[in-house]
Amino acid sequence: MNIVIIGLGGIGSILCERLARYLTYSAERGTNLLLVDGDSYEAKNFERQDFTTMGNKAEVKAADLKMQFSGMNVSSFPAFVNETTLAQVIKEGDIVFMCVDNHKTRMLVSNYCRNLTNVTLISGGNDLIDGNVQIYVRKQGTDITPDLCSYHPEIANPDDKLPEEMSCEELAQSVPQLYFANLTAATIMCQAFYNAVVKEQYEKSEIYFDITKMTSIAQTRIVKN
Amino acid sequence: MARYKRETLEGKTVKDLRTLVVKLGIPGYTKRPKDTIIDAIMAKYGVVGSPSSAAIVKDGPAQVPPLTGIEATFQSSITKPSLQKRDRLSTTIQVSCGASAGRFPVAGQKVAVVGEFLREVLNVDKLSTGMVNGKEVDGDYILKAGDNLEFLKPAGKKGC
Repeated sequence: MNIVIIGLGGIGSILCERLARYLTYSAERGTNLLLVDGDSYEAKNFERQDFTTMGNKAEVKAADLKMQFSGMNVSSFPAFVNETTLAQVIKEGDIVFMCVDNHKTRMLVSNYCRNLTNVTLISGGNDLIDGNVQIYVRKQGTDITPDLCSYHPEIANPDDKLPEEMSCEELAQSVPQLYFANLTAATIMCQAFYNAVVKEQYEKSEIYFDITKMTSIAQTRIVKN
Repeated sequence: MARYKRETLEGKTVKDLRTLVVKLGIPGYTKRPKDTIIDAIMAKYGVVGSPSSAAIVKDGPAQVPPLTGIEATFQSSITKPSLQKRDRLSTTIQVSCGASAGRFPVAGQKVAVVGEFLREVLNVDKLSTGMVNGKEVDGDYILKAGDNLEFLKPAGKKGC
């Protein structure tokens, strides 16, 4: 099994450790884990992100995981994904976790996965107190669940930019986020992995959560023709 | 068919209202209190845009006509829970938006009207698409018993 985690910030830095623990001590041991991020950890990230040292996020987390879970085969790709690098990052049959902070990357990755024969894409995102997780499963060239854009025009036609397209000023602008919202998104993404990949259950492919209401709702989505 | 403003109805005597409710063919209200009779008349024959109906949809956009028909039903069923059970609708439909959900007496109502009314309750986005039983529908779709209505909530954006 090959797993790719794109984005190692608020959600991804939490998710990768939980996932690595599960993979190390389950039947899925021997899994290859690829961590992808072009950004670097800074002191200001300690508020929400799990890391031990400064440096490129993919490289720092890969080193952390190797130390913590010696049996894992972890590698890093220290760059942002874009149309050029996607093919280097995602291969046929991969399981992809997307923990990014912009819809343009979600759109690019989802559209790329639509051209693969077999792939599982689990994408999570949150605002301050709520968010969602989407599960896109494609098998033998057929969509088993809808891609990320099908029910989300804001992803299909994003009004934001890729990280590498943003100016220093734009990058410096941070939208307030809450660690617990990131944690909830990461937890639901782990649940999505267990159901979609381990149990092969695909009925519910979008999950919404709200930490102030202390609720989550899983929805069934029909594949559009 | 005549339409009534709440203020006009409130100016009538209970006796006049009981006569009117019979004339309008609304059964079961001849012995009910004045407010209940007015709610029942407004539910079926209320005027679109009357000030009292606009007050129900807080912060609704000015260009969207305020609700009328549905609002009295909601008032009776939700904001006046003390009413007798027979005065409430028994058919409720699961309505959700994001992680917010509830069962509401909206069978027979249009999706657009329900979205407008529940905008604040469920935090429904003004541009949100309605989905019934997993399929996208337009605002004129009339809800049936057993339907499951979801207003699509935009995806969370951050996480990095």
